[in-house]
Amino acid sequence: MEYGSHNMLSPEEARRFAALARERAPSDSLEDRIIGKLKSKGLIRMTTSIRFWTLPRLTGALAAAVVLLAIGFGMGKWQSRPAQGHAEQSLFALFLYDSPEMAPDDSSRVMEYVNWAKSIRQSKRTISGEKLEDGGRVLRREQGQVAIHDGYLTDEKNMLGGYFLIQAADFEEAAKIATSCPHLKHGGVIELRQIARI
Amino acid sequence: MKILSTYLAKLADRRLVNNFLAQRDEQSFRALYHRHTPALYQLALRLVGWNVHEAEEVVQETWMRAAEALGKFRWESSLRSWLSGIAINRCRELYRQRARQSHELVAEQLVEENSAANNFERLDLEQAIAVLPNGYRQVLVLHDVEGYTHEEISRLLDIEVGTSKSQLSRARSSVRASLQDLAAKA
Repeated sequence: MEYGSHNMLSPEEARRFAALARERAPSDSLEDRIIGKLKSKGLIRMTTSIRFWTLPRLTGALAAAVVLLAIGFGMGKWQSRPAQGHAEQSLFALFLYDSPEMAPDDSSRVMEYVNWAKSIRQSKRTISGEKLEDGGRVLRREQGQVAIHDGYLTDEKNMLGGYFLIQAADFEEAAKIATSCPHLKHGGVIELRQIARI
Repeated sequence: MKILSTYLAKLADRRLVNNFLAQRDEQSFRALYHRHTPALYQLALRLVGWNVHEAEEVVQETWMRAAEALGKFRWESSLRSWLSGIAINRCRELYRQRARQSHELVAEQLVEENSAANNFERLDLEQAIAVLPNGYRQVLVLHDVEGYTHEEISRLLDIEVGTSKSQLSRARSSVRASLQDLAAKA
């Protein structure tokens, strides 16, 4: 059966072709297998065995977050009492995004983040941070079902590397604190959000 | 709008590629991988007739070759087209190496991969495509599913434009016949 003189697709046939999936996630293990092979051929550089140093595009802020844990800042614990000497405070999140132009982190940059966090602490403000592990999942509804994809919701310019939580009276004060974060000096971007009180 | 989104996509790819070439690290590779692999894998699956193992092998080999050659990529096409070209070449190599896959095995793997969709209309069409001879299937998938022109297909497959058109016509006829058979059995 021929549709038309040149065997064109009918509108119904074109609709059926258009409805076919254009993407499909392979098995979870494929990505790691490929990376392993690329490393063995020297097409991806090998990294050290200490995991947080091997997150290559993550900023010194992530390393700083680990150091914060080590010096007892309390990873991930929001201190509910207001810092001493400050009026009623709100909690703000600083989301630290890398940019492609940023140089890889090194030990001197790590110390900048650590010293910055210390200086915030010394001003009697609560500060904490969290390290983001490599790898992630993106969930969204596709064709009526929830699809789970490996990877990140990666903006073409930036990738989320880590975050800090700080106390401040209001956005203006939080922004003023954030402007002193060394992440900006190194070409990164910070998104500042207030944590909702529920 | 499509021109703008194509331009932005190319810009995004350039940044990711430049980043990978500069860093040669896992994270920058993973960014490229996540961006392009789902489309490459779906293309490979259809071209190899839904053999999951072979499709993953195609994707793996595509990235191995791409990682070596990315430094020489001149951006005369989109990154996706270039990667797809590598995948298509690998599929053709596989065709030459392997024996013909049985139709029963194809049907089984198709159902397994598409079981979540519960869309029998889509299943039938995928099955009709999967049982085509390799040459017909390549041209039909590239033209009617992926949207390549006959000129692009002729370059990708190293065939004449006229050959691409005639194979497409025969592929469509064959798919129609398969769908009629499947409808008759239902």
